[in-house]
Amino acid sequence: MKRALLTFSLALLAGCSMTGVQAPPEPCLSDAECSSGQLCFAEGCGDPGRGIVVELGGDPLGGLYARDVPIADGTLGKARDFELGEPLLITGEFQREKTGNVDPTNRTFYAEPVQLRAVGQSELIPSVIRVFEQRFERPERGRFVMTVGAGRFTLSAWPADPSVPPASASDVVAAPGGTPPDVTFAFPAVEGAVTLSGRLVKKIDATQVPNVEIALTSATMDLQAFDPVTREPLSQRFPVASGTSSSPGDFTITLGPRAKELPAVLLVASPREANAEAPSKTFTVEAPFPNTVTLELGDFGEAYDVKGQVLDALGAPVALAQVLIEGTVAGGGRFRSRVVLTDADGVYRVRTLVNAADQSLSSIVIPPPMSDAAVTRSAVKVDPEEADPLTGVITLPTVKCESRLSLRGTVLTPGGTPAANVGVRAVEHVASAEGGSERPFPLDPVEVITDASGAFELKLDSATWRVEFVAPALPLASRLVTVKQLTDDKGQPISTVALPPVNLAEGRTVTGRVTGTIAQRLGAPVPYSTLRFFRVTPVEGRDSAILLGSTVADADGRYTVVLPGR
Amino acid sequence: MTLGNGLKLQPNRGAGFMARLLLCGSLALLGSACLIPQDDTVLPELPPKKNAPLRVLPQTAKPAQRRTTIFVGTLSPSCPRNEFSMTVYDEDSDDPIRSQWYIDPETNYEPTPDRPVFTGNPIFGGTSVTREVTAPNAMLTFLASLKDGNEHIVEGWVTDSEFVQDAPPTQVFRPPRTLADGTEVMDTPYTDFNVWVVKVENCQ
Repeated sequence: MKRALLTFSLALLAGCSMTGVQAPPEPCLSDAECSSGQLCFAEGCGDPGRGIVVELGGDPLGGLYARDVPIADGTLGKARDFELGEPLLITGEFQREKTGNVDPTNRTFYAEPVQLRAVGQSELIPSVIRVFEQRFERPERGRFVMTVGAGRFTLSAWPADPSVPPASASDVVAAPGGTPPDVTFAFPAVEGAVTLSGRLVKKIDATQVPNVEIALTSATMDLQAFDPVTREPLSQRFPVASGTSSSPGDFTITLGPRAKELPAVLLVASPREANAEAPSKTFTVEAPFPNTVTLELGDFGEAYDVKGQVLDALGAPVALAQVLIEGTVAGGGRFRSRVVLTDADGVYRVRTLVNAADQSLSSIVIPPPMSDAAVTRSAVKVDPEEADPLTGVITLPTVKCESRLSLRGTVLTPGGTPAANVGVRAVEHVASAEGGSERPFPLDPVEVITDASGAFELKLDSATWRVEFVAPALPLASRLVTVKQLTDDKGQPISTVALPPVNLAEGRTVTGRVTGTIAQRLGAPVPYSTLRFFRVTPVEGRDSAILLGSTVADADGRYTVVLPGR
Repeated sequence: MTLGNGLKLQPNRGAGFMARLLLCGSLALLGSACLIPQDDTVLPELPPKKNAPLRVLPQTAKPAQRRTTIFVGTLSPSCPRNEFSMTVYDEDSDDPIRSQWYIDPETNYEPTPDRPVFTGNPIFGGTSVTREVTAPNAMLTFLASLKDGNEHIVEGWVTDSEFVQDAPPTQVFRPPRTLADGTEVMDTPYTDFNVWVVKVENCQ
């Protein structure tokens, strides 16, 4: 079998990202290919001493959340202490309009229970997401103080009363050294909110005069309104009446006053229970909003028990594979089954709705990490006429998984000898996971260690992987590897790909202590804080964060990390 | 040496001889003492190092807050990718760390189709005493279906040994270790866990 070299997606940037100056990418396979003062990273050659930003995890148990510390170029020596200072806060007030108008001079404070959420990103380290939330049971005179980490956030306030629409505020920056941002949330008065009423039905029988509505009785559904452009929620989730106190399917949903300014809103109907045998469906309701609206979920029919078998490329059963079925079902809604596992014979059983007449559903099989079988998506049709007359079970075609590709390589010490016991960890690259992949979720990381000869083998699915090499007292090394199914000149699939030898480099050790204000104690050691050292640099036109090394401080806040450097 | 009365003190030749004799005798005795046979006792080998307990560092858990909401929908900037992870400290860096993840487990942790167990990839780590353990994505998919408005318990369990299939995560086993002399040593296996209270909401 012919071997093929992997495609390396290596982009590299020299220079300091903090200045925003972008250098052309320089692909590299080893440090020797890089110019003086630079090293080879997964993203390409770069100066490991420039553009460093440290993310400090802090002590979440003590209310001291993550923040970032930029390091001026060339100033990171052998010792570096970090003082986190006091917890970062966002303050503000919950208010409610007294009339149907938006009038900051005519409001009262809102002292009912509110859940406040902050979703944002680090301002210094790209792609680092931070989420915080806090519930205020009885905010005194509507005032709140929320503890957060550093970042630029979108805040959303969700009253416990579902008839009060949520309010949001964007671009709220929490950063050390300044006055905490003060944010006001004004919930609309009852007369200021937009109310949409109507009925969610399974089907409207247009063959009857007058038309007959077929009620939805098989599942408890929720409705929620969203902005069609920003996708921000305009309402809370509202239950659709199950028929106990009103007609089945009746709903009344309250939207924020912003809905008045929109040309349309999205109404998303989704089943409330995890095992509901009903689809989700999105409806567009255009302005001017009608007094009542009837939404047709579609005649999605009944759910059926289906079963199937999962085999690997050699025909052996794949046990403990995760299987789910999803897709467009009859009536136009989207359905996703629960996740089930295959048994020792590779057989799974799951309940699913029937596919739409002109479409197929997809079965997604995710074999366990150490299996040779690859993640496989295949089209399936669920035909009730093929149900077993005795058991009612529909047997789906056997899923035959392709083989995962075997990525082999060798790791060498700085002296060129085989490096044994080196951790080799492959993590799917963010862009690969979000780049329109047909998988319902990203691939799980895969990890092995090198043997006595420094060799390793990883079984990987087709994707772009960031492969990291972790050795004691040496800096992290990384490569970006795009694994694709290739064929040789006879059209036979290539099962093994070789990574050029990875030479570990000498590094430099940095030690120090992390302190902060915990429980009003100034300069207290921050126990077990995580520290992640990034190099922030533009890659392919976008600022990217390249992990240089990470560590966890001890109980006294002391840390040691080995970073790349010559 | 001259005394105060002008008389000179003469060295005592007999005493010097005796002193030299004594010194030689002492040296001879010391020298011979080194040759006295000692008991041929070999110190026993150090006992094999016991398995050290592992522990979750709760400060490192993600999400950082124990009571949290996750938003499920598409993968987009407005729908941040969810992650459940925790760093585990284990002095025995050779031990792979295994993890199992539960959603709303019953007290006996019995897996059912409504309450499956999600097994994480073993983390080898090479030589690091701290290792990050991440929940498998399948758990997130399952969790995403729980948009029932209720709070759900997510438990992440770790062990430095092996979980027993279909048994509570407190029941773990560790194969015996064979020493160089053929002796088998039974180590104590350890577990630890972290808990989150999670609500699931829509994200578009």
